[in-house]
Amino acid sequence: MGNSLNPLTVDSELLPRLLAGEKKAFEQLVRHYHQPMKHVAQAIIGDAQAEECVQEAWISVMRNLQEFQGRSTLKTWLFTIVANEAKSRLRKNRSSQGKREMSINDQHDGGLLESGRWQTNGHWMEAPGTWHDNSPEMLLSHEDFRHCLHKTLANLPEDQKAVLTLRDYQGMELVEICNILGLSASNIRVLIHRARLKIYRMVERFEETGEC
Amino acid sequence: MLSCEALAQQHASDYLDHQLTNRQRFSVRLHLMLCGNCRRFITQLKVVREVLRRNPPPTDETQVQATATKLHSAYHEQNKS
Repeated sequence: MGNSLNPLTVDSELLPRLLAGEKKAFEQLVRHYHQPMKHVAQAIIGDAQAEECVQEAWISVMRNLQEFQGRSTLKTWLFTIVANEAKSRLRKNRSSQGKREMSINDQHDGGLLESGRWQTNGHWMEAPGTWHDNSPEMLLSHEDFRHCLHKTLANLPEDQKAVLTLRDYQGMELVEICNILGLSASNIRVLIHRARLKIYRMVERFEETGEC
Repeated sequence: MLSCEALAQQHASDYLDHQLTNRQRFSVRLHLMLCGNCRRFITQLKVVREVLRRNPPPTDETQVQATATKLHSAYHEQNKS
């Protein structure tokens, strides 16, 4: 499992310790942000170059940490750096290998709930099942559930993974996510909803069968 | 009136995230007052959102240590000069 820091308060606690050069603070920073930064890089440039891109971004972060003025939050700054690095690589790749557009890439991948759930008048065919574990705490207390969740998240399209990470886990505002990923707010809202619906279906299956 | 399908497929996350216009919000609220199935769905989607908020992505501790050590040394090196 990852760390238990609250992403909304981590910045103010971490920054002074980073500036003082405290080793543990660097570990916390990387533990907390490396994977989310990788999700952002993957969404922009794809999986193959994402890790390299994040490593480059970290170097840039270290180089500029002392000049960080706090005009944005630390996490917005980090995600902007990694996104800029990924976009710059993407531009270079485009000139040498052709285009890779970042867009809503799963219009037809079953992102919505299945059509069989609806009557022709748009009402539910059957009521959504009741969930025995009806709180986040109860669900997350099952190791099997956490495993299913990580597996489902890992299999999301990269743009959905990135917006879900930034919005739900990092608690960022839509406008910040738009700036980081270079997508419109309406696209981001669609991506978030489709990603949540996929997790919804996974929870539903888990509740019914105990499996992913 | 808004259908259950439109509510679930299009508006549910926007409703939870306060991204609907006043008119759309009113329409969703009215629907929820009348529809137990959609109330259950929205409650469950809220649980999903909360699960995602509380679930950190898995980390590779070996990589964390290696990257943090590298950054820490680079930061110290840089600030010596």
